[in-house]
Amino acid sequence: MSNPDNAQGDALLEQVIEHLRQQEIPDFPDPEITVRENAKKMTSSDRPISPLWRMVMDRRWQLSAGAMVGLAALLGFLLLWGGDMARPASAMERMAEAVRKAKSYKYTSNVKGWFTEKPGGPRSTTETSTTKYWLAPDSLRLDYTLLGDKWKGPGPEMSNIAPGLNKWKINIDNSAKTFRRMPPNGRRYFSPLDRLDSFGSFSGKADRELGSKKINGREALGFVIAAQKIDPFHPLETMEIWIDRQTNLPLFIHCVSETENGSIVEDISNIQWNIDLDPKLFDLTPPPGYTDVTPKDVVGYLLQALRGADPAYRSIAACSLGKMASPTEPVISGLRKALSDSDKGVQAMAAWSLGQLGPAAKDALPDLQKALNDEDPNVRSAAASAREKIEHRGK
Amino acid sequence: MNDLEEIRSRHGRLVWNTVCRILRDYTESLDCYQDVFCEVLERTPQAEVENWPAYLRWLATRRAIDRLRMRQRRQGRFDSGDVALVQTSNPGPSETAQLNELVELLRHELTNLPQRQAEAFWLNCVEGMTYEEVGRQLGIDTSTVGVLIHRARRRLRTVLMDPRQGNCGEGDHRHE
Repeated sequence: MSNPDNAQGDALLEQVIEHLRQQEIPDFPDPEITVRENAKKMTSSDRPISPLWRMVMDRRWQLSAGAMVGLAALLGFLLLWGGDMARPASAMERMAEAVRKAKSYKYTSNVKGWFTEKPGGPRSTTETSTTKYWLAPDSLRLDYTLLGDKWKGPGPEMSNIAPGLNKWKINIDNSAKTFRRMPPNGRRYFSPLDRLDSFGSFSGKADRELGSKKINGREALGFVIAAQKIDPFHPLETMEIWIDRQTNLPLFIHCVSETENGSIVEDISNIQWNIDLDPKLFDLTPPPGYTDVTPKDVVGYLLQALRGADPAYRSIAACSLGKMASPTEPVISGLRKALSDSDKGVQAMAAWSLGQLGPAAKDALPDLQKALNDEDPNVRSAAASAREKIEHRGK
Repeated sequence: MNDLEEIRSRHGRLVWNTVCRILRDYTESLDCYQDVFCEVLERTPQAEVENWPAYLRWLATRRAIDRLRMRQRRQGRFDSGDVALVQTSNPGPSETAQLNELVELLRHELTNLPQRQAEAFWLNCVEGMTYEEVGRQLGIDTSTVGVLIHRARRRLRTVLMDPRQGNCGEGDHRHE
């Protein structure tokens, strides 16, 4: 990481960012005057009137009458033709609302795809079958099996059980007969059925309806959303959703995602909503006879990771220490050393974590003081914030 | 409506500065500025916003980068935006001109970064938001912000050092 090219590149990047910040910005326009208001003013007086527009204006009464007749005919046709057909827009809105109100669900997801580590690199394929259980407010269980693998059951190959956001989790490997306990990391879960909740934002923008069909004996209404047409950066390209006509909750979903680094097709089926889930599903007791492979010393493990080769991992380790470790001498000492890491991101994260440890990390104040003069603005800002936390909480 | 006007009068300049810095095109910046506040009016439940400056910075950054990407796709080439804005009235020494070019290269490369990387980088490195503030706006934890920024910086560093590494017109990496 002490690659001189990196240091040179960093210096250049900082110089460019600084120059960018210094570039002139045009005067702030009068906030009361908007572009569209200006455009309206233009159409009323300044813009020349085209001959076509003049002709339209001359015949405006005849045209208006014709338009009214046409509109009435169209309205009649829509009433006759689409009487009982829900509009995709409202169907999506109702679906999003119903999903948000859900108390529990269970579904099966089958994923098939390929991905590469980098564009043009060798392809790896994946085929997974997962059963997902979710119970409000934040209990989650995933039972999954990598298809095509040696695992033949019984049961799933792996289970990840998380009974709550701020509770310990357990990952059970049935093929190896091992389990690993994971500390709470405060990571947010998505709201029910994750992506579905966000579909509400596509209201009125479904590409096309797919009509009706029966799914598991229920009358379903289908529609397709070309997500990336609406939001070019949406992770999914297209989503085909079939919702229950009565409950508005999804019955089947087919998602396709394509990028240069991979392609994933996911089918979500057998969706059961608001069912009574056995609390034992979220029980953290491992199956009898399984070996505990939890690192005995998580903090030690993180401190070791803090000295690893990859700065991204060192940064995560530094952050995790701030979130979960007690302010012991080895932790504070490890983070103080990380303040001199060759990577600025790790330095900033170490400073942040020292702040999280509070007044007990006061031994690090001289190092943080030094970091206040660092060339990197992130390091400076994290150090200032950490110093404030350590000193403020100490009062 | 009064609330919106108050928000706009208090934070309008901040949004304007952000969109101008990214777009460097006066007309497009005006449109983007208005889009941001239309979105606030239409879609943002005002009671839920705890930190308006941070929220607006993020929204302005996202919408401006969206526009930058669209401009890029539409034109399919390296576009330096409104040149009159980029060049100052008093052209400086060659170093300044070179820096201007590098700034344009950075702005261009921003559109080739995955969305969250670009946003996290801009908000933190240019707008000066802390990791925590960025994380709160993007709905991710601080460590992920660190990783995103690290990756963005690595990529930008590489391109600035050797512009041939840039991939003008290549697809997006949406799965970051």
